[in-house]
Amino acid sequence: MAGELLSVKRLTVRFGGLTAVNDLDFSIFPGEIVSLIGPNGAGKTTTFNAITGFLRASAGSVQFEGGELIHLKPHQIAEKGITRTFQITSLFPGLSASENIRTGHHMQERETFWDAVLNTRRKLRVEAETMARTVEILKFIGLEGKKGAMAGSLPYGDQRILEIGVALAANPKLLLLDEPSAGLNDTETQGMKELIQKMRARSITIFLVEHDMKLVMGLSDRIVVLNFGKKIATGTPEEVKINPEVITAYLGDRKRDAKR
Amino acid sequence: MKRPHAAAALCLAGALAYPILFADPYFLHMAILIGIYALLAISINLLLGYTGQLSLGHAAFFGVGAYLSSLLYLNLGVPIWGGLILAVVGSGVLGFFVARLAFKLRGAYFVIMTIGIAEVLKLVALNWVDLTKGPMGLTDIAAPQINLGFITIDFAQKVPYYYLILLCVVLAAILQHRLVNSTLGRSFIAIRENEDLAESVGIDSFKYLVIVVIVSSSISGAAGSLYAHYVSFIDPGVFAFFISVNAVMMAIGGGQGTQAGPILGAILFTLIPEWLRVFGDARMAVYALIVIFIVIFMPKGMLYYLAQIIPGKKNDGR
Amino acid sequence: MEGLHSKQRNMVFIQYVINGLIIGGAYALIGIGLTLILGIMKVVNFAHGEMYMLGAYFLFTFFSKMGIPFLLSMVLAILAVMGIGFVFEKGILKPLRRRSIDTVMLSMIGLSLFMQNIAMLIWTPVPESIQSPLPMTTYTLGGLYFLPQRILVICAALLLVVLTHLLLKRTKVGKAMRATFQDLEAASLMGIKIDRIYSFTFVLGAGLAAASGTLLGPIFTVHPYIGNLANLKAFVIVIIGGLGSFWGAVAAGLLLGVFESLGAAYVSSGYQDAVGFILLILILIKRPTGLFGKVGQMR
Repeated sequence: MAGELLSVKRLTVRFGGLTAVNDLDFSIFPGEIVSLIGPNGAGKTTTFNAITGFLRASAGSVQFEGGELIHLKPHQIAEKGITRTFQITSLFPGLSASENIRTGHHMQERETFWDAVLNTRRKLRVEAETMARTVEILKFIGLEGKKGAMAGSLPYGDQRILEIGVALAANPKLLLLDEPSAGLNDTETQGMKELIQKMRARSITIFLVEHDMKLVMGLSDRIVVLNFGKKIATGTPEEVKINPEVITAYLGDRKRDAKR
Repeated sequence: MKRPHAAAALCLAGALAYPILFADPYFLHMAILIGIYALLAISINLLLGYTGQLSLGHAAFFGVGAYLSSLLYLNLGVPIWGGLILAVVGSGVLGFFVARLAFKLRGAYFVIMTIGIAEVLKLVALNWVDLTKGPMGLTDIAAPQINLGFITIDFAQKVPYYYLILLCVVLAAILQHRLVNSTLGRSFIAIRENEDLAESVGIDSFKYLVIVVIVSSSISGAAGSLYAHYVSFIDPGVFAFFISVNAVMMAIGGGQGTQAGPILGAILFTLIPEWLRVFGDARMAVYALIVIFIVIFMPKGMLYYLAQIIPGKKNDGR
Repeated sequence: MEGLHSKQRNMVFIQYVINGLIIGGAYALIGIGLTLILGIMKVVNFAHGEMYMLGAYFLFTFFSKMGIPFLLSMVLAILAVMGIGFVFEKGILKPLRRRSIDTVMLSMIGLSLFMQNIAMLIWTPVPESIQSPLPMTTYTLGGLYFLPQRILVICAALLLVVLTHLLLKRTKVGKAMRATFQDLEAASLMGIKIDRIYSFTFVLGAGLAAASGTLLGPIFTVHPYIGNLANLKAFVIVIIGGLGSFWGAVAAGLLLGVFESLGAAYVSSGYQDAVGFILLILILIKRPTGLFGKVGQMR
């Protein structure tokens, strides 16, 4: 199919005897916001890890802009234009907020070893550009006032936002967000929603894993639903909401929880 | 940024004037040894500071540099200038292979691997008698003379050699400084802080580790070459574990993760064994106790604690 | 070796293997000691080799200098080193319990440096040799030759391996040690006194290293730096055998002994000590966690 940004075909991930992701097929088109949902343990983060190279896929293919991603290393996948955030807050804790974002810029800072050592004019120019972009991103995510703060000591909500800033600095075409609203309160979640919409307005395609149904329904153009590693439904939020298999999957989950 | 630059300039001025103030051969000898060890300490500091990996086998690069330079001189007549460059290249190449071997290892596994490599090289130096003369070692490794027409600089003399060492140390310090303040340096730190996140923004952690190891090993190789042409005699002892340990102590004891730390550490840990001569045969035992003391009570290194005492001095890793 | 019949060549080969197994038995002891200390206490014990060295030196002092009967001297040497180990554990390792692995490691390096130099002061750097009182006649069994001292080594090594295994498997202390190895928090929640287990582990490890020293002392020369090589070989054994693996250490120790023996015989005796490292480098390339190891992070 033409026009897809990301095309996942028959993706399978096995650990030992367990098949975490089973024969998964879906596509993402440019400019979309697609959500990946499913009960706990459905294989959502595993799918993310397989797409971004942090896990080895056992079978299947992941194509981005026509190029195959399977067997590439994470940094190579990043170079293609895909960045991600992590489920558990992942920053450079000992660096300041602005230094974190600056690090995200890495691929833009075309600086070689000899540039660094010889302090070439190119290096100085690149550094100036980087600083400008860093400030721009800090403003975009709303953390400009805290740019000097140690990332490890920022409040949780700010840390989650900073993570997105770091991923943004890498100038992605496709951004994978792993549970961006986890642990956030209502106000913060609303802020996250606005940030995601702002990013889409900047032509960044967004693929997210989320548990917050309100956020998912309010943001997504399309939703992919996983259960036990298999895709059980895909479609617009309205279609998915009334899909009987989806309801069973979630209700079943709740029934199990209620019995405990 | 002004104060550290001013301090560095002051130290440099002092170092330049040193042979004039302290013309005694003993003081010059000490200064030269300090300089050689400073290079080792800087290379350990680069590796430890920017990858968090500790190498207890840098004597491998030091020894390779020493032997390469000496053999080139003795067998092919290559003077120290060529020997130095080839020692740097040779150690760098060795560093490349070590990095590839040891990349997947972390923590103590990496440490043991580095120790093992130094030990293997020592055994090679001991046994490949045809090449290295085994335990007898190589002798008469001379330093050259440069004839500039109006004067002749004889590097067999301590004063010229001192300036040569000083030049190399300054170059290494500048290299270290430039790396720290560059994207490259920041990438090293990022890898150390959070390798997965670094990878996710396009930082190839393997490539960067290799770069650090190559730079680190090259500097140690240079130190080895400079050592060989100074003492004019080397034997497999250049691969000794003690050299690696000492270099680590200097890097850590001087000031972990700082730029001036390795140099301060080199000064301290070269002078301390000298001052301990009053203890006679018990000298090294006391030295060992001091090492233990510093490791336990001053783990961040001297510079950190000095900075606490001296008011107003900034202490943030520069 | 050219003119030998193939049967004789086979016998020679087996002889080398047997010799290697014997030395390997002693290696296994020092390896077990280190793997226990490293695995249970998470201490990178660079002073382990010095326990070996002191074991040999104490045997020298008790037996060669003071004339105490040989076997008794061995036992006394082992006990003496265990006592020293106890002091080190309580005096240095315990206060450093909360510090980083690197700090402990570097402290142990300093300690090993210290002990080497103390040994130099006490016993002088002149290498000594311990004349085993056992007869120097070789016994033959099926075409293979055995020196009594080597018979002693293999018997003692076997005995100590079995005893240590029984200790770990059957006794209360041993079970507590294994529990601590698997899950420190759970063990302490179960009421196991971790401090005592650590003490015991370190003393046991020191004792095994010392035993190794008393066994190999009469075979190789004794000087203050033999601890260096012993230490490195112990680490090689631990890494090859897998961190914390008892039988891994035994297997790796024997393996190392055999490879060293064959290497010395068929390749070159000068590089004998390098065999271990070459093995280690090769194995670590293929399997960064060792032959039998689990993914044990040491950091």
